[in-house]
Amino acid sequence: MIRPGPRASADLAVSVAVAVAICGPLLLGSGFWLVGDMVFVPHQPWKAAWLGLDGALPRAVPMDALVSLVSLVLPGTLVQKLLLLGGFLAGGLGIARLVGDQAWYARAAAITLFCWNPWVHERLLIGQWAILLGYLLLPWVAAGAIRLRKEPRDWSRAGLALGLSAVCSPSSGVMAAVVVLVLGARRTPGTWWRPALLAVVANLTWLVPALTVETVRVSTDGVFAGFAARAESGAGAVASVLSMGGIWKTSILPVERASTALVLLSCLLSAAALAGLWLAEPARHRWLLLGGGSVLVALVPTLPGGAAALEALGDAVPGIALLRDSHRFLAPLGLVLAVGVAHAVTLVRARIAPGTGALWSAVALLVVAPVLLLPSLAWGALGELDRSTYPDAWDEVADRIGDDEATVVLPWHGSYRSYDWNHDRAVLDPAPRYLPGTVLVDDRVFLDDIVVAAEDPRVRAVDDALAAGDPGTVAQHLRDLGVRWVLVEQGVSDVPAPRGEVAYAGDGLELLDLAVADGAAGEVAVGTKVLWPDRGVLRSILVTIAHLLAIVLISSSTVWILRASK
Amino acid sequence: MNLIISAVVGGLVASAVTIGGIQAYQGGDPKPVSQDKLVEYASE
Repeated sequence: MIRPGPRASADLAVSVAVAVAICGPLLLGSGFWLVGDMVFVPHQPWKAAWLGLDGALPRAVPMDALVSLVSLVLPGTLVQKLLLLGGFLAGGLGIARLVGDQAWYARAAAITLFCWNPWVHERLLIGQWAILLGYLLLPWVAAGAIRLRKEPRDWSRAGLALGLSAVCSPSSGVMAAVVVLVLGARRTPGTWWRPALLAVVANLTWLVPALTVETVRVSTDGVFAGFAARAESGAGAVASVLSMGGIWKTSILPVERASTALVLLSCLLSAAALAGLWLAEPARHRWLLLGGGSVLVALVPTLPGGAAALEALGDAVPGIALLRDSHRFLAPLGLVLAVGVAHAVTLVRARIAPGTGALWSAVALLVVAPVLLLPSLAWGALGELDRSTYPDAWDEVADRIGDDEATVVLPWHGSYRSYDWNHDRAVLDPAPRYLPGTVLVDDRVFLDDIVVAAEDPRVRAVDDALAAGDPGTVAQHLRDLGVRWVLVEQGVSDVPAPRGEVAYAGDGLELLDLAVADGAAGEVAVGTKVLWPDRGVLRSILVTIAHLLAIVLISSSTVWILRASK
Repeated sequence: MNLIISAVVGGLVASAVTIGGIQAYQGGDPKPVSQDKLVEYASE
């Protein structure tokens, strides 16, 4: 619990300042930030898919379920604001609490470095808000782990933080588990079962759907090289990664990260943080292991033969595909550097004496350096993240589709779109979250030199149906699969549409009803096994149990913490 | 001692601000996401 008082007030003030400086444009008006994978809709209908029961890989399980439930009572635009603002506040207050025995300026340095760095910028601009939330929860995970190491019976803080992290995304759950194991496990192996058990239970929500889905095909061909960390400047990939940057998606890089000098200055900040950690942190070996491991995982695909080795490993162990965007696993380094910079500030402060008063400027520099080195993160990435509002057509289309119906979205060319109403910014197609029922979008990922194959067998079935070419034949094949609706997103690209009756057209959307195509097409075979795979009673039971266990973990941890704080 | 410290800190700040300013001037605005070159979008 954060104790009210001057210390908490100072931390809150710095955290609010950082959060508002980053998210201000979103907070000050209506509309959404829609960019990359960041898709929020006014009201996200409930679907079994949000629990991982649809036959696809559980990439956003159970976060989509949570967003769907919350958007039943709150508008989606408010949900997005609360999640992002709450995330940055949680991150700032969490890291301040982690270094809570130090002066306010040392805590402020930890807050700015943790919340304001290239990794945060890059993940925000790529739209991975859930992974960003998981990152911002890491200080609470670390605090829970340290508590667990000191008091093995006090599992509640670690349990709650682990549970919430796994809600964010599978990657977040894995990173949280690693943090708990590295910082929370005692040296005697016999005591490891407690953090290990907590980590497993917390991650069951996505582990069980992933392990029990039978028909998904995970391709690792070329993906590790395609998503490998890259050099942002002449300083090279290692310097980029050591300063928390180096994402594979070069188009979102801020201009300052293309400067060799600025990247090296950022490395200087990292070096100061690591020096502080080495000189002053009692558990320095654990922290350095955590940071070193993060750097290694991020860099492996960039090493000679690294990507090929991961591919070979991925052929034998499909779960390795989780590491394809290995740069995201650099997140724990932000935690390590933030703790280190707080120590560095404290060490510098300790050297201030008559004649060295100017060292206060070094203290101030350590506090503001992250902002100074990356001004592009300010104010919605300097205005790049404009707010957007969905045209009314999306509501019109959603109103016409039933919960038990299937919709195919065209154009059938990847799942990212650039709508003019969204400032032509690339964003994941919102249809699967906006529309009720089963919504299928081409889930191939198009990279420079490779195409990551579709994973969902239903997508491959639709792909085959669309290959028929003739509009009438395509419509019949889609009907055979159980598809009633085809949503054509016009103005994105020209696309041959199957034959169907136009049920709605306007604002760039055209909804075709295949059920009444040709006048005598008859009923759509809803329930076709391809689109509604037999989930199996056992799988449904297992997935339900997994979610219940996670709920029990989170709720019991919360109750335990509240009782202990009285 | 204070002079040395001030010079070092001032030099670091001046370097970051100057280089960042030049970089921003030469590079213009950050690349918009819509001009993505890695992922091929339907509009292209």
